[in-house]
Amino acid sequence: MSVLKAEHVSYSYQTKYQTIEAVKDVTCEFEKGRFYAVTGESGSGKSTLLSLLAGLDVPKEGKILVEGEDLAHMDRDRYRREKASVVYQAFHLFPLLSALENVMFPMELCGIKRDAARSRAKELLCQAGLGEKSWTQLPQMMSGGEQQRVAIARAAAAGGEILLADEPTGNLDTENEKNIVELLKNSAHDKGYAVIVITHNPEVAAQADEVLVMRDGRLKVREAVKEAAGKRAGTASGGFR
Amino acid sequence: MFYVRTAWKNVRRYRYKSILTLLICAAAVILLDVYIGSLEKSREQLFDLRDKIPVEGIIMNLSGGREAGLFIKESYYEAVMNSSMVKEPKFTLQLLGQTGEEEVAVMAANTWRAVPGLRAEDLPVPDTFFASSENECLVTEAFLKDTQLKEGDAFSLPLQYYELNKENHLETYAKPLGETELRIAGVIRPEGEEKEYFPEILLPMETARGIYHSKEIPFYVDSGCFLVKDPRELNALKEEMDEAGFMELVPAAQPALEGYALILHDEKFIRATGSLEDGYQTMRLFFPAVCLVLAWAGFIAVYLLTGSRRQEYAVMRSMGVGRRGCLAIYLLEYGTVEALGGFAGSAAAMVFVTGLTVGKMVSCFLLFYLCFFAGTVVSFLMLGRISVMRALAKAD
Repeated sequence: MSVLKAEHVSYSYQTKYQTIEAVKDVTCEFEKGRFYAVTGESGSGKSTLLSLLAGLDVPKEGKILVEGEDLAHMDRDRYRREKASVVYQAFHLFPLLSALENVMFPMELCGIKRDAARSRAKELLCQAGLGEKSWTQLPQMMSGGEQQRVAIARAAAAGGEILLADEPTGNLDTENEKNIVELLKNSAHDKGYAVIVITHNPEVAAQADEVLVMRDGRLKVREAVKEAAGKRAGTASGGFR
Repeated sequence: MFYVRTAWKNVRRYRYKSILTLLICAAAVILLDVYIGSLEKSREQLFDLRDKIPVEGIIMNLSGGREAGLFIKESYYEAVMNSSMVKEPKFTLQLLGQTGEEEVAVMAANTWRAVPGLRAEDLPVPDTFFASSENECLVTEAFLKDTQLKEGDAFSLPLQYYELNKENHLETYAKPLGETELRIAGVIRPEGEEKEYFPEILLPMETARGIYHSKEIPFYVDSGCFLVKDPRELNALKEEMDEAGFMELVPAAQPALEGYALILHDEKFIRATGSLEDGYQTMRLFFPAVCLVLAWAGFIAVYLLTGSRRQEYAVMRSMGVGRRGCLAIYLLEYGTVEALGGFAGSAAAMVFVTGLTVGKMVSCFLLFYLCFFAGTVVSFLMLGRISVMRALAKAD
């Protein structure tokens, strides 16, 4: 059963001069344990679709279903606390909190005690490939790749089932890009997240189990990338447990 | 607790912004204290002037040539005595008494202060004597000597009153007022230059009035003056006295003995208080504007200082912190800093600003906090209206 489903979703917003129809009649669904890539040119509506899937707004038409329940009628703040997390191109870490404190934040928000949150945060940062040295560093002291690892660890800290990433590798070099994609893939395949990545990088899209192509706000193509057994080889070197 | 901890963390982490906010608040409180202090000082000065520059009212004849030996109607006497805006009214009434073949000067007064030459230390009775309507009197030693009476004795005194010639309004006639039984309540021993002219018998005014009423004779007093209780209410007093029938001086009027006119010596007071009162009222008018400026300062300061934190807000919302939760964090953060700034400003004002009591300083702090924090709340409510989706998409 799909964990997340968009049914005939449309969304438009008003600027000072015009109404922009960002998403038009998009229907798609996402399952746990799979890695999805949503591609398309700039302005095709990818980020808007992601925001709708994250519950940051409600569609003007159609609905977003989370395990069968209409997101528009749910507590969307709670949905983002407990079920879905978002990772951004610009990382969006809290600038005055250390890496450890950034990862602890969503856990403390859910009421987990400080000590337990700290302990789990350390685990997640290790799994994301960040050593103890970087735990107390502020984001501006880290490289882009490190910041994105912290962002992914923070997203995993919420303990949800859906991980949404908006151009997570957009600000990274090739090496870090590979590492982050690997991390996201393994989050899907090992942890069982439904991972949905917005990207206009074909190499990133090629790593996905399924690719959705958007153009002018519409979903044009949806194709499953061949699931070679090698992609799920037990040589996973990252991911969250 | 999560929100409190997060707010407190923010206060410490954004230390420069916190310090700046604190300083703005301290400055705002100091300025408010200066304003309120000035207002209080002006008010106190006005009150002081009321006592330092008393305004006297004197009943005179229409042409303004006499203030004693007049015929002042009972209604005027009552109007002044019953007015709540008047203090220390002084009225006298001269009568003639007869002891054997001798005439004796009799004076009725409503207070010992109205009797020329009488001092408080000369009074052999409590000063409430003159407020009573008992048939009692105070007499001089000379009277006792002449009449062989002593203190405590009762005696019968034939009295005469003065009546005005209604044709020329200047001549007076002495007419019999009948006999009155009086008891000697005390003996006066006047000192000083005026002891020669001192009346031999003093009566309470109400006693004299009672005698007139019992004989159905129209009651008059022959001199009257008073002090204005609160000179700032002069206009109201003038209105009240106008309604009682008092007139203004008419210098060209024919000389007469009727005491129709009331003159208030308010020039000095008006000169002294005029500009002070204007300044005070102008400052008071600014009070609502001061509150608005404080609220505006709270709004603008926070709006500008949190401009760079809009993204932080959007990220918190995207992580599932509700709108109210975010508001709680920010209001706790800024509420704490503003309170600390207010305290600091109040402490500084206690040293540098004069004219304020501790109670007023506390009121100033509360007023500042109410207005400034209201502006802060509005600022954060506006922050809450931003589109999270667009705030995060824009950055990316």
